[in-house]
Amino acid sequence: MLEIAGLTKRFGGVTALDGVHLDVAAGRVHALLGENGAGKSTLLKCLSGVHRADAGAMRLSGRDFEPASPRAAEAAGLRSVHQELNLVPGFTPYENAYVGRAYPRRFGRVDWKAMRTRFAALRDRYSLDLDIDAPVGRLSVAKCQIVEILRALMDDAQVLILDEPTASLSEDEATVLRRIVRDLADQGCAIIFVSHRLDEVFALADDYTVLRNGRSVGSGRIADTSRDGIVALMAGEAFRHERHGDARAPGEPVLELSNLRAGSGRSPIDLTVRAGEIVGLYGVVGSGRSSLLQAIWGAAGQAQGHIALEGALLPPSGIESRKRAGVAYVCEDRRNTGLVMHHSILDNAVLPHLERHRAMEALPVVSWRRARAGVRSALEGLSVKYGGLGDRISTLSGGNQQKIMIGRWFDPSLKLFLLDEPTRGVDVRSKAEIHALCNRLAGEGAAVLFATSDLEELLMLASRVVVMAQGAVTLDAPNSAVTRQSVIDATFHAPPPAPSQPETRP
Amino acid sequence: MSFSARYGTLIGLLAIVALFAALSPEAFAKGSNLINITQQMSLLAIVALGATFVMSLSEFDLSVGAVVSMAGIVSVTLFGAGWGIVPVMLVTLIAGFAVGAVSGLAIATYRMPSFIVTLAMGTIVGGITYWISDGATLFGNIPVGFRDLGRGYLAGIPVLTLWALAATLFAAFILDHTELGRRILAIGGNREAARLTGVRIVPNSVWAFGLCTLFAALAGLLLTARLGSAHPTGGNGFLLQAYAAVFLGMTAFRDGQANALGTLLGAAIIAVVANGLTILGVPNYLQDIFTGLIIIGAVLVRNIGGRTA
Repeated sequence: MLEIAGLTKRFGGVTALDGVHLDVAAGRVHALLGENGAGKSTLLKCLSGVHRADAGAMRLSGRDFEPASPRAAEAAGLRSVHQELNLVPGFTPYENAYVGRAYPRRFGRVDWKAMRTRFAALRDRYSLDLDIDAPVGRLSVAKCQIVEILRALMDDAQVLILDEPTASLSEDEATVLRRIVRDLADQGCAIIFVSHRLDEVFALADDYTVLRNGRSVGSGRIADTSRDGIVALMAGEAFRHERHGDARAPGEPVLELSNLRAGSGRSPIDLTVRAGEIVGLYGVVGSGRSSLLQAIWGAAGQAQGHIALEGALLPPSGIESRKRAGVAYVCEDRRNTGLVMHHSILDNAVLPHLERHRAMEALPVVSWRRARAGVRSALEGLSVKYGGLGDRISTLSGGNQQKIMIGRWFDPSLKLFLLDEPTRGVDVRSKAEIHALCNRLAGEGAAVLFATSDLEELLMLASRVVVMAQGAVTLDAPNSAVTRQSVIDATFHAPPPAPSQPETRP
Repeated sequence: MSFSARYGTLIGLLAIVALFAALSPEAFAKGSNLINITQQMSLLAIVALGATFVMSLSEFDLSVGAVVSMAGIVSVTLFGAGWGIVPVMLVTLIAGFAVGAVSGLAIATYRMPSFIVTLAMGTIVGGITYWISDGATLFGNIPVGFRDLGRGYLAGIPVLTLWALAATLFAAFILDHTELGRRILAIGGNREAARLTGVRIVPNSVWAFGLCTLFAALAGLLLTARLGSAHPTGGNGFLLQAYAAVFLGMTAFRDGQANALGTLLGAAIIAVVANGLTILGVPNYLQDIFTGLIIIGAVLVRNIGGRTA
């Protein structure tokens, strides 16, 4: 049905896809597997017309397939369902299904009845339990996912791409969804299925292709392989990374979590981070790393459980209490939630600790002279390159922005750094500098807890490795005791299925 | 930021002044008329400077006009009850602050749209004002010392002009030199980024909205002092003009950001246009059309300039 050969895609100097091959047959479910950054998303975007490949051939039903836009890809019979839901909450399922489509008309007016009838027929064809008259905002995540799939099937799709459709579903809901996928395949649809649940892949898929570093490194029938075989393909040959930090004896516990739930319905987490330790949190997107860091930082409204810093219990939420206790936090999305991009370098650098630059200790008045001097010397220590302190921070490179986001917290009294993806989207040189910075902090006795989706970075920087999967910790071991394979394996260890609960979307 | 982007609006004001001076060298360009303009713009400037605080927070407060009216009615009512000047002003200013503080508290705590909350708050305040005054213009028993706050001269400069200058300096100081001001601007710039660095949204919002209506209440007091009376809807006309002044000010000095000096400049442009056109005998409705065109023109020029820069 769909044949891809030699597909190559470069972004600047980075080769995201390097001669990828993929054959998807009609009536079969094809699992697309690979670690974070292996090239899955880029491949799917080439397929759905978001990106144009630089080289290689794609054929759909025997015809050349070079979609110039998502619309063109859909016209050719390819449909995508993304992990994030793209539904209008106030619309009913059938109204949502017609968003972006021509509405049926009757006497010049929109024929709502025809829309409803057509969508109801589609629902019944797959014998689904779905109320198509309620606004989707009142449906569960699983039902919304089903609406998305039905929407994709409004016109007969030949190829359906499902990008982690079960990531946010409970086990029961995922089972229903898998049944639908199976039905679709049995009716002749070719399905590309991306999942980070390996047990699910083995239960559902017929074929597989594994991507690694932008190359297709293995494919075949699921029946002919094993779990270990797949994990070995994803991990690649043994890679001798420079083990780091093991020599340093960790000090007293700085952060102690017991029974911490980052939100309602989340698994409880126990974790200890010691002084001088760099703990790396690894997991696929959506595994709960960011939520955990936010809960520790007190920024998540509904965390429950115990968070202790140097033995003293912190309140379940409240960023102020963390700042007072000597914690610093750097979020993963510097553009949207990290920096005020249209404000100056100076403004952004002083924001967390305005009170450090007072003209007089007793008055909340900023001395810009002192602030400038302080920031200037701090930026020098971080080797940040900038024109003037009054320039917008958006004029800096990502690496320099990231260094400021970390460096603006510096204070000898800090005990714990929480860094979410500290090197995402920065150049190689800045990455090395940020790693050196983390090592320096730990060397000075601070505890560092960082989250990353980059396996190399995890093994290079962390003295201890913690892997999360579906909100639970599945591996916690010193760096010297883990291998690429055991880390990847742990990302697939689903925790015992949580009792399904009627989940309603906010 | 380029020279033209920074000072373009100021140059625009000077150009408008030069134009009117050329068209009407005797009446407009006279020193006494220019001083008169600074007095005419002063109350608008004070209300607009208050609005600058909430605009820095990237929010709106639509209750400012109602608060100006309320302050007049409350003060005259208290004077009528025999209160002294200082207690009357204090109570009126506190009442003004309270209106915004309540709006800010509701908006920040429950994440309600400020547009709707302050529209409702303005309606409520208007109702209370009407209730107190029974819908009538109040003359009461206003002391002469209070009236001098709005109509006297100090060393040849109108007292109202001095009030506006003091309000500008105060607003500029709060926004540029205090932790409160920097936090308000950070929230306005990127609310989530500010929150995640530990900036507390609720207290800073309460202060910004409270200062906004505090300034409106001050303008209401001065309006009453100047007129010697208070009307239950006498300040409502300030609302739209105040935001017009803030928007004009956002095109000056800072890159698209509300700022105190810019707001003063915005109020000056509106006042100069009104004064100049009146002197030239242009009817009122044409003045409104001109003012509207100038606002759109200023924003347009800045946006086109910003894109090519």
